[in-house]
Amino acid sequence: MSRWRIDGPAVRRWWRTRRPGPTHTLFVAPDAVTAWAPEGGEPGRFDGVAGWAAAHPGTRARLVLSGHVTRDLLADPALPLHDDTTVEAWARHQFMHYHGAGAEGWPLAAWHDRGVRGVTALHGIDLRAAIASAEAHDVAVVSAEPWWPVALRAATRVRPALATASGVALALVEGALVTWVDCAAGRVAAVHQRWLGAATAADWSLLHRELVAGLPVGGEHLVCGYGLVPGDDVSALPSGPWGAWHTGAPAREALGP
Amino acid sequence: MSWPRPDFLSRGPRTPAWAWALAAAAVLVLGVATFEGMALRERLATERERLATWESESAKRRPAVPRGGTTAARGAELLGLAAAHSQRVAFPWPSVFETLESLSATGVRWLGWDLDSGRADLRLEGVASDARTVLGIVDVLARRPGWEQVVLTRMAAGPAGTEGLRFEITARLGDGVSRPVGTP
Repeated sequence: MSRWRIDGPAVRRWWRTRRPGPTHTLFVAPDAVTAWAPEGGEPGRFDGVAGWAAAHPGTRARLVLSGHVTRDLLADPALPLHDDTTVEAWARHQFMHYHGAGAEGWPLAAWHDRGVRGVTALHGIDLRAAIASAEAHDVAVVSAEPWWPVALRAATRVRPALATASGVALALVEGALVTWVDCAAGRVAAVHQRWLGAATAADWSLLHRELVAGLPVGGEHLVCGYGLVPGDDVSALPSGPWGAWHTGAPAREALGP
Repeated sequence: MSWPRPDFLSRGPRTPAWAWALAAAAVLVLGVATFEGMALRERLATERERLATWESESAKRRPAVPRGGTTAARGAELLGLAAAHSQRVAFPWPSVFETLESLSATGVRWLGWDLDSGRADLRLEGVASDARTVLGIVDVLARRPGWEQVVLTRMAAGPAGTEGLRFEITARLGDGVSRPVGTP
């Protein structure tokens, strides 16, 4: 028996990740996965990636990670962090400082954008196990991105001026968690995570006022979210495709194409 | 629009088109080289087969090697031939030729020199103007060191219509003939 064998399913998965094709979108939160089929329709809700993959073998999927499972750091441009490896080492040290030794094994994803460098960390879910369970069902996972850059791109498609405006912010409300992304002249300037006292429109309004007060004059912002307590009055919040306030996942439009 | 794209499954920068072209060229070269290699291998096998056939047929055509006393006799014969050849080569030809050439001043015309180098016997034929000259040549040769038994074996008038006397001299060349002409 030869030691060298071609793993047919692995080759097919690799090929599916490299070529464009119909892709399922999975929004991954700590307790559930919400999935949309490429052809549209109502989302399905699953306990995890493994459960979804078992129901959709041989397909292709992209993961969008909830703010509940990510943490972000932006490096001071004055720091001598000139490549992804260096900035990840710096970020891991910072995460361990703030979140303890448990942060040592968090997966990191570095990014840079015209002089700005940042790192997103993943915690609370086992991404490696999720990928392995997907591959066990011959599912090709093409990407695993935090929600905020995905939402930023989706918002810019709707309002292209966001990519050039001098002061822009994007607020992503996920129940009691708010991710606030500050942008200036098309570059990310800060990513903050704030917590509401309760996942209600009232608490969000309080924080909203505080955050908006920090915007420069003439600056604009978008609010997008989901997960407020059922029955809460959301009449003061933005409606339409960006607001899915009483559901467990964002609107499909906020997850990009 | 170039917002950040942090991806936990990042696979590095997208492979540029030229890299695919280079890979395709490399695969093509590898394929051609493999094909050529296989062709050469087949040719090598064919040539080896031909060589084996040729060696086999050559072995069949080769005469059987003599054995025992026959081989020894042939070896002795070859050794004898080699010794004779070596002796012939080692004979002092320059000294003999120089002596005979020096006699040309007497008007003699040499018709033939016949030397048996194995026994060092020399037979000379020539034409001289008169008997006196012929006898003078015999005397000169007899006085040369190493020239022994110098004998005028024949002297007669030439064919009708020719001038001079034809003569024949025999001599035996001894060891001293190797010495330079004129030395005592």
